[in-house]
Amino acid sequence: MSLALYVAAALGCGLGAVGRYALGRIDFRMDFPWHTVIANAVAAALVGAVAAVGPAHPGWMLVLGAGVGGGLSTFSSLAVDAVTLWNEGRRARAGMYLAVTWGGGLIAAWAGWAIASALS
Amino acid sequence: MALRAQVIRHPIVLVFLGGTIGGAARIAIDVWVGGSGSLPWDLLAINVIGSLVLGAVTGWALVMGRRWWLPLVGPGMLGGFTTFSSIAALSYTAELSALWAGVTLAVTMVAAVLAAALGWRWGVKRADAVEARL
Repeated sequence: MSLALYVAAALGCGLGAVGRYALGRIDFRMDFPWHTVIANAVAAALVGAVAAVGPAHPGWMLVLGAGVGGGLSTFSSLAVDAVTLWNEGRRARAGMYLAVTWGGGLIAAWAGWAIASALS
Repeated sequence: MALRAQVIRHPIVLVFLGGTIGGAARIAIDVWVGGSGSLPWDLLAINVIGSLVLGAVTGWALVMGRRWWLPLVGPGMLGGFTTFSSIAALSYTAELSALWAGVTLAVTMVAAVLAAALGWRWGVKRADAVEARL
């Protein structure tokens, strides 16, 4: 991997993080961290799509997948969101949050992969 | 000078800087360590460790109050360091069946949540100890 590609992937991660942060500023429903669910699902779809067309373009795979997708998605906020819900006494919500994140992520990754495979 | 400090401390700028640093660290580790076997153990470890640290920072901030650098460290560095997308798409990026990809994601999530809860308690305890000394 060239240095330029590494820097581009790292900057892509910074951009993805800003996108995720901006999404967090939108008021979906205050009592449920939908923004993290959506950021993670969109990023999973992006990585699925990149994986479908990626092998021919390893540079894009690194910049869009590991970079932008990696920055847009987050594991740490997802874990802390769940603990926050749990600590607030909303334990069923915490379980639902994890289930929706899990299912949404897997479905989105498949959808991204299927759409990109059909188009390419 | 004051304006420059304001720009640098703007949450968007901090999140961008932190996300770039966190991503650079993750990608460097992944290039250096990853690539062997069907499971990206380095990314699984990164996610659990990142969740532990964010849990500690969140618990600490709960006691100590908000700080200007929190967007740099939380959604920035730790958000960029950890990644959900690569794990959710494992059946397309690694030689893993859909079933095992789902199991891997679930196990990683449970481990990360437990790590975050542990970090949270530790962060609250550390902050309480600091408060008691003041």
